[in-house]
Amino acid sequence: MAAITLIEALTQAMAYEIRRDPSVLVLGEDVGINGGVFRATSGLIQEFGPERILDTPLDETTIAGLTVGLAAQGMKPIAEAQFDGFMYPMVDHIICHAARLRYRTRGRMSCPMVLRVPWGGGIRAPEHHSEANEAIFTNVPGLRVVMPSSPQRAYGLLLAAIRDPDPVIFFEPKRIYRQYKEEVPDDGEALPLDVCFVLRDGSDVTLVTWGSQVKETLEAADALAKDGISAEVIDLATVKPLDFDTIHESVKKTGRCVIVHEAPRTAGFGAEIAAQLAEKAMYDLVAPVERVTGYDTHIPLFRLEMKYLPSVEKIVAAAKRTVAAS
Amino acid sequence: MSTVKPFHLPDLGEGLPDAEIVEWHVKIGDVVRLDAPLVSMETAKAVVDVPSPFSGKVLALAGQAGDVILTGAVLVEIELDPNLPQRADAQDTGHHHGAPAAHAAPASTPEPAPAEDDGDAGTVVGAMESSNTVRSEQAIAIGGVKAMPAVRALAKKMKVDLARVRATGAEGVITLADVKIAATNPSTQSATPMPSAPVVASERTAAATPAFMPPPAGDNKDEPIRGVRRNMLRSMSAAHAEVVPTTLMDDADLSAWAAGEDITVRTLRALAVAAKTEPAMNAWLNAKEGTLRRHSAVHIGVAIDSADGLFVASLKHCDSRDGKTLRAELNRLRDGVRERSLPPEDLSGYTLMFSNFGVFAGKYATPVVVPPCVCIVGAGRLYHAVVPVLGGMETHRMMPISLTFDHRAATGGEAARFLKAMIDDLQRAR
Repeated sequence: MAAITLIEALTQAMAYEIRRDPSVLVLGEDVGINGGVFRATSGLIQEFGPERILDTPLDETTIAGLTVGLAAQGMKPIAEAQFDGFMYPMVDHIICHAARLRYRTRGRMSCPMVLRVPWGGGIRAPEHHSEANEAIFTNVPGLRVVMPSSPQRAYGLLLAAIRDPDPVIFFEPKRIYRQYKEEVPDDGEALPLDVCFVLRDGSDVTLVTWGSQVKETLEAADALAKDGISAEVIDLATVKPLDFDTIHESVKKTGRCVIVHEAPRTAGFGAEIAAQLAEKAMYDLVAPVERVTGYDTHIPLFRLEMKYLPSVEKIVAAAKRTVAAS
Repeated sequence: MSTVKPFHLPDLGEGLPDAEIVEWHVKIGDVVRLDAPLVSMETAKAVVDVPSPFSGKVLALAGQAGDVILTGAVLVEIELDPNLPQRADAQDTGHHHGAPAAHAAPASTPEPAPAEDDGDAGTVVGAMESSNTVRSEQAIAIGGVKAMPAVRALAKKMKVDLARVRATGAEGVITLADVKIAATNPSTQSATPMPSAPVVASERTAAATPAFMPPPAGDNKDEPIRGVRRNMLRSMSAAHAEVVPTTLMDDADLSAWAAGEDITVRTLRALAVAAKTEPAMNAWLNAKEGTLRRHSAVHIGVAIDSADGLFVASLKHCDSRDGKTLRAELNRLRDGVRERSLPPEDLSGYTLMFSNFGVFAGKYATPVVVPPCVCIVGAGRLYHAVVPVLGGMETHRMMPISLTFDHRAATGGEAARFLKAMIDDLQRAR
């Protein structure tokens, strides 16, 4: 079995499911002939033809509307938004319709669609191409927000997202699309949605993160281990609905929590985790919750980009502050 | 040893073929630092400052102000200065047009990240960090239980307690398959149910640990729904999911009746008359095929309540029976329901539905049409109303009638005309 990148794992998952389920199709700008801006759909049109892999006009509103309509009528569309910053014209269809179809029809209809969104910064791209906007969607009832952090999780979670009967916003951390490779069996085995993945066992501090920051967070755990601090690392994987239970179990053990995310700090999803810690884990905590996040400004262009994003050093420093607190 | 690097003009917009030099910020012989401005270029969109991708001495410039440089052509040549910071290879700006640009590979980088084999940078903008390094996640051991993160997540999802799972993987690692097998075995269920835990079978509840258990089951335990009630569960759910119900309500004035009229029989007769007047309501809808079958005969399905549940008995040919045989047939069906002795043909084949709920209580209702029928009528509790008659007031006995029809099959006009015909017949003296 050859090791593949995260982006290749996504292609593999889509190909598997298009082959298996005749109601699955892919649509988006340049997803056909061109294979997608990041090559996620590379080779699919050659195998499955233009009826299953649709090159749409350059019009996100149309893509989203088509997707909701297809899903409402029994298809399982996988739409691609080329970049996170291009989602905004899609929001009306996603929030006003996809997220509410089940609610509005008292369960008679659902909207089994996946919107794939290359997400986040770190690829030295221009404005609108580097946004960490997941918290906009986690605040919308009826949407599931999923973000893989490894090739295996990309494969298994995308399969689960496609098979799920409700709309999934599938954010793909584009910075790690090709960062490394992992062996991913093409066995059609989905991974569970709505649960966190505990990547590292630790006893002193819990590091919670998702998406491309998982790499820095694991490196921070390694660095902390050298200083004798044992860090547990939790990858949310499904951001919403949040599996707070797994975080709480960990914090009961460690008493400390550092939340790491790329999005701006204020009302980022870390705020929700911190709030739930305050509500449910107050007496398990021995130190204030720390957040290592982007800043409350738009992500800067490439020269300052990596200064904006959480770094190993910032995560280590925050973890050490929680340890020093008690 | 010195390395000379060409810098190719990147695509400064998205798909721009060229750009015009506005002003150089360096001249030949200058030492430029990484990311310092090299040149201002004007594109079809804007004037863009182009930063230097290298630190070193400028050896050559591609032209002067006003010259147009093709995207991908050499813009400057720089002799790398090993004493100044250089970009790590993984941070290459990645704009490859024409021949892929050579990568700067500082001596300190042990393993330069290879470009994609086909020269495809994997993105239309920016630069994609790319490497062939293979990583794999390791099983982590918690409390002596070894499992991969994905296996732990699945166990969480399936509420399986990993400590009770038999591991079949190498070196005692629990596999995904182990968790799936364990999920079918109640003794491995997690002791602490998540708040969203589904209803568990009663025997499983009894086996779980007592810490957070609900109160003893006693008389309040869930019981399986069986038989006629199970059929009601199924048919009512299906009807609710499918039918587009619309309900009309009105009263029939029974003041013209002689004493001793058989209320149910008169109502059945009125239904048969209405069905003849408006055959669209005495019909079966096949929504899948998009067909409607209007029936010439009127077979009324009469809802009969029993201790076992709801039965709908089929009173055949209501349109061609007199009151006496209608009553006899109705009594036979009622007895049959009580004794559970009715053959299947007495419980099917009806073309119109009727519920006489008013014998207990309730004036109006929204009765449920069960496909393929398109209409159900409910008779409510009879009552006395004060009605204006010739400028004065009289007290009349009234029958409240509720009619629900499937609006996919019939129009509101058809339903209202049906109801009108039914009321007209009920209001006749005999």
